[in-house]
Amino acid sequence: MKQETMLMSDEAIVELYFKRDERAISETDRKYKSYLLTIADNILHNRLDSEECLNDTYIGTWNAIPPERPRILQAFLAVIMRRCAINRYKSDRREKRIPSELVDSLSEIGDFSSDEDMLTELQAEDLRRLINDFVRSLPKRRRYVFMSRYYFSRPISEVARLLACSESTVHKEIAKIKKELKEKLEGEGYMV
Amino acid sequence: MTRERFFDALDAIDIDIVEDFVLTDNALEKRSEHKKPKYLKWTALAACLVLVVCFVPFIKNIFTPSHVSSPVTVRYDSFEELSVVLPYNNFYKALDSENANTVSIGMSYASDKDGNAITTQPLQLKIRQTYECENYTDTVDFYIIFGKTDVNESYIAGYEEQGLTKEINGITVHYSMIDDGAKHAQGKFIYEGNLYVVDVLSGGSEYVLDEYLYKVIYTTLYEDSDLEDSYIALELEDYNCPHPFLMRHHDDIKIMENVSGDSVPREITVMLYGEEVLLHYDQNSNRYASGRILDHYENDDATVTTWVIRGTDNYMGFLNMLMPKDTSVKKTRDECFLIAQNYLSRYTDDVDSYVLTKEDEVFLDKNSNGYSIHNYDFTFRRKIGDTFVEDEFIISVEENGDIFHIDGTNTGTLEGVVADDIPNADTARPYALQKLKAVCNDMWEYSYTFKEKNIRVEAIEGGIVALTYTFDVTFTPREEGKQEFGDLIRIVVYKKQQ
Repeated sequence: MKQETMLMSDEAIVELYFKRDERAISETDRKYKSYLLTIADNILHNRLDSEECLNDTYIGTWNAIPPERPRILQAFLAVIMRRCAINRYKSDRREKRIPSELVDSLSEIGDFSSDEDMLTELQAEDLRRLINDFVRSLPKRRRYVFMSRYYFSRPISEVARLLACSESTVHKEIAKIKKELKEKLEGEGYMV
Repeated sequence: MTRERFFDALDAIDIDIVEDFVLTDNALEKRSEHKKPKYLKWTALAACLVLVVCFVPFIKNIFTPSHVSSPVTVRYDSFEELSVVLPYNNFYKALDSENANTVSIGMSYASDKDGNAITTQPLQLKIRQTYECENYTDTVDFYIIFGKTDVNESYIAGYEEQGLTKEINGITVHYSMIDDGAKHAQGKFIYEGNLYVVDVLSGGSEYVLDEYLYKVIYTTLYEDSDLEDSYIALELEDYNCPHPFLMRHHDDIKIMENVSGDSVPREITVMLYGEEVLLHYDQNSNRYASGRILDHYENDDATVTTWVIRGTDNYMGFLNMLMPKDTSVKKTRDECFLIAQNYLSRYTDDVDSYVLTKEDEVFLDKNSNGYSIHNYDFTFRRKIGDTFVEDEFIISVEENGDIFHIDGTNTGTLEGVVADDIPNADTARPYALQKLKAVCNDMWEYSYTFKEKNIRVEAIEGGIVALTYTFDVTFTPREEGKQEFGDLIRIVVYKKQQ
């Protein structure tokens, strides 16, 4: 965008947070609003809910910086936004307002993690470690597909567009990722 | 629930992984912005094909021998090798061979009397690719049969005439679902004097012919084409259409030639999976826009924009847009403000004061004839009896210099503030506290405590004093799992100066 040249650098925005200058929020909004809304939209598919999550994200960021000093502000914001959106999703789900994209990606996971007992035996910390290790072990492209689909619940079509490949290719890569994750879990001694 | 536990675990993924993703994502986004739209690429393929069509008969006239002989098939190990004899590089790129498990390439040529291939007389190109899916395989054969002008000249086995056709990007594709126990389908079409046949045998549960047809017809690729400036091309694609065959991609393409400046249509309707989406022309950014737009991407010189549009059923559309250069002269921000101020002067005689409270909010309105609007929000203050009244007055100026909209609204009354008490700041405090509590009580999930930090007194125009009370408020969640947070809240009370 032409306007992007006028946007403040991440470092300068973070400094505003440290100075408790409220312009930090407006500059964050100017620079990342669209990006963050897309993250929430992919999970919630409801613009009003997404905008509420956006506000929560700004409040969360304002409270977190300082003391936190993010290395990459965009990633820091994305993590908070996703968390807000997932929380909102859970709350919506209780009210039976199920969005589609997260449900879709959840159902993909269901193929290998449908054994409730297996995962109840996993300590949450173990599962987190496993997934972190697994994601790190993936080749860069597959790691990108995994994060796009499962972390950010992006539509397959969007992942395909960014990777400049067909949706079918992405489906195939997801199938390979699932297979590898299954092997990883089995390798750690869990029955899958 | 188990699946959710997986997502809960993902929530704790290390930040450096997310950072790495964001960097990759930005790089890919940038790369995709650099990509020219697909329709740009047609011209190059068309040029290639025209060359081939013109060139082959010429060569034939020189070299065609008088005898009749069988074709000879030559195998090529790679597309690089093939491109030496048939430089359809964009076509090859579209075939997604990198993701195929096996690729075989064979070109059939006419032969001379000794049975040697005459490489200047290609008859047929066949590319077979297999794709391993989870528990099945797709086998895809791409054929180009050279020098044919009728789809009925195809000799590729399996095709059954079922009267099925579909227009894709201006090309009529004839297709057939072949009843042989598998998901087998074949499509064929004529393009620039050659017959293309795509034959797909899928071991999966659905026909996937359209995906491969799409690659050939759309995804192909023409890198070096220029379109004239005065040209709008809109290409809309939508996905997730439930039609079982050949309709997974619905497309709506609009091309308007020789348009620029005021001749650019202010509104355009495109079809997104059977649903009309109205686009408004935003002259400021020289783009079409819609309330349905989720996001957009631009290439470097901002000539091509891809809009992501959402339909009502959670399906998405991608609208690629190539616009003519905008040559209209527009007012600057300062000029727009001067126009607003001049207009405002006719309303300022009977007020105690006015201030500009919201400055230069720029937006596009569907009724604005394509120009962006600069919105100026003024607050007027009047004393009526013992009460001060605030009115909001909005003046909107179009970038062509016209006053677009004027709106005056009564936004609030500073009740209970007696003019005689005004110099004493303490009399305004209860009002400020009342307002603060109203604000805080909106946060019903939280309880709050506050400390009054300071009062700032400021004289503004019209003999009005602004008393700014600053409160340091801490919000404590009523339920577990939410974070406590604090905020500074300022309440301003305006009073008449004695």
